[in-house]
Amino acid sequence: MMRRVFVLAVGLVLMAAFSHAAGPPEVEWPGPDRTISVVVPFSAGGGTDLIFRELVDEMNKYTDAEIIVDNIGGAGSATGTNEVLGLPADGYTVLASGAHTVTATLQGLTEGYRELEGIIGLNWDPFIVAVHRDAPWETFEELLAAAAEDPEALSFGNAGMGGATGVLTVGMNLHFDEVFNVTPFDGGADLIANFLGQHVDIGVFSQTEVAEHMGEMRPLMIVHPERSTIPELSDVPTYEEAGYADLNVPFGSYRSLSVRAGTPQDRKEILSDIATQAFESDRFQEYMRRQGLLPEYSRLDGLDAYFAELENLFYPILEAADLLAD
Amino acid sequence: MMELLAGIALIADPVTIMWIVFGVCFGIVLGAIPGLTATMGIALMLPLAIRLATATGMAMLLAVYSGAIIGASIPAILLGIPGNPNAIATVYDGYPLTQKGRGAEALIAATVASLVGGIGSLILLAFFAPLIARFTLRFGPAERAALALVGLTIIASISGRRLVKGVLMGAFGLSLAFLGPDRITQTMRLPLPAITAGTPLAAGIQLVPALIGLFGISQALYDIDRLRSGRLSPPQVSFRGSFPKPRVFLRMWRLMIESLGIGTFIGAIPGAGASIAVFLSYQRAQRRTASSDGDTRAPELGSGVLEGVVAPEVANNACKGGALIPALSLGIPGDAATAVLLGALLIKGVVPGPTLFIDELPLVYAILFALLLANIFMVVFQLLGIRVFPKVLATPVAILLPLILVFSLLGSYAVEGRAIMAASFNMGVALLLGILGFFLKKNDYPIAPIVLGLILGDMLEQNFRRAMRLARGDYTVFLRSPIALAFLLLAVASIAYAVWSSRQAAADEKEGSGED
Amino acid sequence: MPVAWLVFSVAYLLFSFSIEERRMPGGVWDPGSTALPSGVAVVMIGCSLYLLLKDVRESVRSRGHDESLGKNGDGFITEKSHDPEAGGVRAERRMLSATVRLIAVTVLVLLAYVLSFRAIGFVISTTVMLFTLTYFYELGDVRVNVARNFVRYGIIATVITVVLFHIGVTALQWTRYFGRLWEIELLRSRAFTALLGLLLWSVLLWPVFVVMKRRFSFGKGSRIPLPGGAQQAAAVTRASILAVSTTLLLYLVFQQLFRVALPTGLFG
Repeated sequence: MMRRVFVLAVGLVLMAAFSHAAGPPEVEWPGPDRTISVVVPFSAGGGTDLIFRELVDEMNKYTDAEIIVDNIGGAGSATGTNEVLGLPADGYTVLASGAHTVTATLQGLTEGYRELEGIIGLNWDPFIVAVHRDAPWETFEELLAAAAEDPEALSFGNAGMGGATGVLTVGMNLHFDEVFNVTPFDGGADLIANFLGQHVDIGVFSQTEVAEHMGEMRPLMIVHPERSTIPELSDVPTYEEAGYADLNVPFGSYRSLSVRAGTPQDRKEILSDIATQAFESDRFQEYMRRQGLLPEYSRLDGLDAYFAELENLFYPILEAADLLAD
Repeated sequence: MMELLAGIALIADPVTIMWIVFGVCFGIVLGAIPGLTATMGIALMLPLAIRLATATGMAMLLAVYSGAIIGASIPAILLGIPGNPNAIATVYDGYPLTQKGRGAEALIAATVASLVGGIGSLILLAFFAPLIARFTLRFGPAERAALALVGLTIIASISGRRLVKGVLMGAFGLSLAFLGPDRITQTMRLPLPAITAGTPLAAGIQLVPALIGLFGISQALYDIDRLRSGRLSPPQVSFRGSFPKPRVFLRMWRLMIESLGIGTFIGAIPGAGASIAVFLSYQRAQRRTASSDGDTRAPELGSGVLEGVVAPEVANNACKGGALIPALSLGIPGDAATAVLLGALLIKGVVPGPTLFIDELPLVYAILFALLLANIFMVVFQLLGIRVFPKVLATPVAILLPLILVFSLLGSYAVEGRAIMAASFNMGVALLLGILGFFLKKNDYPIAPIVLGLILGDMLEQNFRRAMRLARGDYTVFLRSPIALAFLLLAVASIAYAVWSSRQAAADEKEGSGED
Repeated sequence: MPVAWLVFSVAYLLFSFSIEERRMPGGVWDPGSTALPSGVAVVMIGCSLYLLLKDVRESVRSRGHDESLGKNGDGFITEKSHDPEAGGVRAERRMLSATVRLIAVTVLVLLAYVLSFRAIGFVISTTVMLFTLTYFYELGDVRVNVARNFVRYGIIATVITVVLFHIGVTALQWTRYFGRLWEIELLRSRAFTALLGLLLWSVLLWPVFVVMKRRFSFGKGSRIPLPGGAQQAAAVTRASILAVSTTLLLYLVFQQLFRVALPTGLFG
C-alpha cells in the first residue's frame, strides 16, 4: 500500500514538473499570457487615476500582454511607490510617477525616484487659483491687496501638505511674503467640499475640477505660462499675464511612468515604445486637449534628467516649509 | 416626463437587468467575505463598466455597491465578524441572536431593514438631493470635529456599566489612530522610527484589518472553548419558521425613520462615512428600547434584540443613497465608493454636479431607477440565500474555526490586495489585535470603543486642528457655528445620560446582590 | 490587566513626547502633532490608575469577606481554578488545560503563518496552517504521540496541494493565452477562469478524496489501522481534505475572482 502511495506521489510530482515546463511559450517580452500592472499610488476615481486609466486603455492596443491599473493609495503617494520598490525589477510593475513622487521622496516618505528609472514623461496638469463666486475679488491683484491688508486673515487651501498643491500654495505664500493662511485639507474632494461651503477663502484646483464647478468658482489665474486649452477656462489669465512673471513655483502636477531601477534596458525600451505609441495616439492627444493637459514628452534617460530638474525646483520650497526629510 | 421615460428605458432592457443581477450577486459574495469592501468591488468592476453603455455601467456598479453592503451583514450576524465597516454595529445584536438560534430571523430582519434604508434614502435622494447637499456643505472643519466628538460619546453608551474601561479602550483606539503621518503637517508619528520608517506602519493602522482582528479572530480564539460542545451556535430555527411578523417591523417605525435620517444625512456629509452612521443609529436604538419599554424590563440591547440589527442596517443602506446626494448634485463624493462611481462617470465624459440635472436628466433618472432595481434584486437574492447561509453553522467547530481564521487573515490581507507588503502587514495587525481582543474579552473589557476610536481619531484630529488654523487660534469657533454648538451640547447630554444610567445600573446591581 | 495598560499608556506618553514637531509656515495656531496623542495618553493613564486602584480595593475587601474571586469571568482561566479541589474540579481542570493548549497552539500557528506568508507563499503556508489547526481541533487536544501521523500526512496534503495548484495554474495560463491569441474575451474574464479552475480541481480532487476515504474507512474494519486508531484516522482525513480543498478554493476566490495578489513565495 505504501508503495502505491509512493508511486502516486511520484506521478503527481512528475505531472507538476511537466505542466510547469509546459507553460505557454514566451515569444517576445512581455508575452501574451502575462499581466503588466501600472500602479497608481492614489485611490481609484481621482484625477490622476483617470488619466492613467485612459493611457493604459490605449496602451493595451500596442501589446499582446494585458496591462491593468492597480490603485495602491495611502501616505500621499508613498505606499504605492514603496510597493513598487518592493517588487522584482522585471518590468511587470510600472509606477505612475510624477511630481508627487518627487515631493514624497524629498519628504523622506519613500526612496522614490532615487530607486526608479524613467520610462516616459507625459504631461503637466496646470493648477488654477480660484475663489468662490460670492467672494468680492475679481482678480488676483485685488485678492493680494486684500490679503496684504490683514496678513494671514485669508485662508489658502490645498489638498494636503505633502502633494503638489501643498508645494504650490507654500511656494506662492513665500513669494508673497506669507500674507495667506495656508491650510491643508484631506485630498482634493475634501478641499472642494470645504471651498463650496465657504469654509476656506482661496483654493488651488486642477482645471477639470474648476470646469466641473464653474458655477461656483471664480478662477483668478492659471499657474502656467500658457492659457488653458479647455474652452471654458481659456480667458483665465496666466500668471505672467496677471503680472507675476517672477513666480517660481511648480505649475501643477506632472505625470510620468517609471520602473524600479535595475530593470533590463531592453524591457524598459519595449515599455517605453508601447507607452509612446499610446501617448501619440489621436485618442490620447485629443483626451489631453479636452482635459487641458499640456504634453511634456520625454523618454528613458530624458525623464531621469527631467526629474533632477524637478527636484531643484521643489527643494527650496519644501525646505522653507520644513517638509524635508531630516 | 419624457426624460423619466427615457431614463427608465435606458435601464429596462434585458442586458442591463442581467448586469444588475450579476452585480448584485457579485456584490453579496464580495461583501460576505471579510475584508472585501464595496469600494474595492466597484474599483474591480470599473474597467468592465467603462466598456458598457454609461447607464448600464453605472447600474452594474450600483448593484455591486448595494450587494456588498447587504452581503456584509451575513458574516456579521452568523459569525460575529464585521467584514467591512458598514456592518460593525450589526454584530452587537446580530451575533447574540444567532447564539439564541435566531440567526435566520436576524438575517431576514436585516434584509427588510436594508430594503427600508435603501428605498427610503433613494426617495430622499430623488426629491431632496439639492437641498440636503446644500445643507451638508455647511459642515466645515469645526462642525465635523464636533460631529466626531458626538461619535466618541457613543463609547459611553455602549460600554454600559464598564464606563471607565470603555473610556480606556476608546483612548486606546485613538492612540492607534494617531500613528502614522499626521495629515496636517506631515509629521511622522512612529515609535522607534529607525526601524519602522520604511514599513507599512508609516501609513498608519487601517480600520478593516483592526475590525477583523478585534471581532473575528478574537471571537474564534474564544470559541476554541466550544470544541467540546461541537457547535458554535445552537441549532438555528429554519428559514420558514423564522419570518418575523410584520407587526414586529411596524413597531419599530420610529426607529427606522430615525435611522434612515441619520444614515442618509451622515452619508451625505463628504468624508463622514457609514461606520459613524451605524453607531449613531445603534445608539438611537439603545435609547428607544430603554425609554419605550422602561417599565416592562425589555431585554437590553446587545443581548440579541432585533432593534439592534434593524437600526444599523437601515442606516448603512441609507448611507448608500446619502453618499450619492453630494456626488450627483455637487460632484463631490460622499465616500470612497462613490468616488469610484464618480470616476466612472467622468471617464464616460459625464460631468457630475449641478449641470447633471439639467444636461443629463435621463441619465439621472436612469441612475435612480437602477438603484431601485438594485435594491430590489439585492433583497430577493439575499432572501434566497438566507435559506442556505445559516447551514454554515451546522458545520462542526473543528472545521469551521480554521475556516474562520483563514478567512479572517486572508480577508485582512485582501484589503490592500494589490500591495503585498502592506497586505502582509495588515495580516499582522489583525492577528495581534485579535490576540489582544481575546484577552480583553476574557477580562470583561468592551471592544467596540477601540473601533470607535480608530474610526473617529483621524476625523477628530484633522478637523479640530484645521478649524483652529482657519479660525487663527480662536477656540470660540466651535461655539459660533450653530451646528457645531448643537453637536457639542448633544455630546455633553449624551455623556451625562451615560454616567447617570451607569450609576443607576450600578445601584440596581447592588440592590440585586443584596437580595441574594 | 490594568498594570499592563498603565505600562502601555506611560510608554505612549513618552512616545508622544518624542514626536518632532514640524513648524507650519505661517502662524502657529495649530495645536500641533503631539497635542492629541499626549492628551489621549493622559486619559489612558488616568483610566488605568482608576482601574488599578479599584482592583486593589476589591481584592482587599474580598480577602476580608473571603468571597469567590472568579465572579467576573466565565469560569475559564480565572482565579476560580485555584480554589481548593472539590469533586469533579480535577476533571474540569484537565479539560480547561486542553483548551489552553489548543489556544496556545492556535496563536503560535497563526503567528508562524503571518510571519512566513510572504517568504513561503500562499499555497504551502495555508495548507500547512489549515491542516495543523483542523488536525488538533479534531483531536480536541495537543498531544505529542500523534507526531508521526501529523508530519507524514501533513507532507502528503501539502504535496497534493502544490501539485494540483501547479497543474491548475498552468491550465489557466493556457486558457488566457488562447483567449488572447484568438481574441475571445470570455477565456480571459476572471469569473470564467475561476469557474474553469473550480471544475478542473474538483475533477482532479475527486479520486484523491475517494482514495483517502477508502483507505481510512472509519470505525470497524478499517483496512489499515493507523496508530492511534479511528479518531486519528478521522482527524487526518478531515484535516487533509479540508486543507487541500480550502487552499485551492481560496486561491480561486481571492486571486482569480477578486484579483488579490497572493504571494508566490518559494515558487516566485
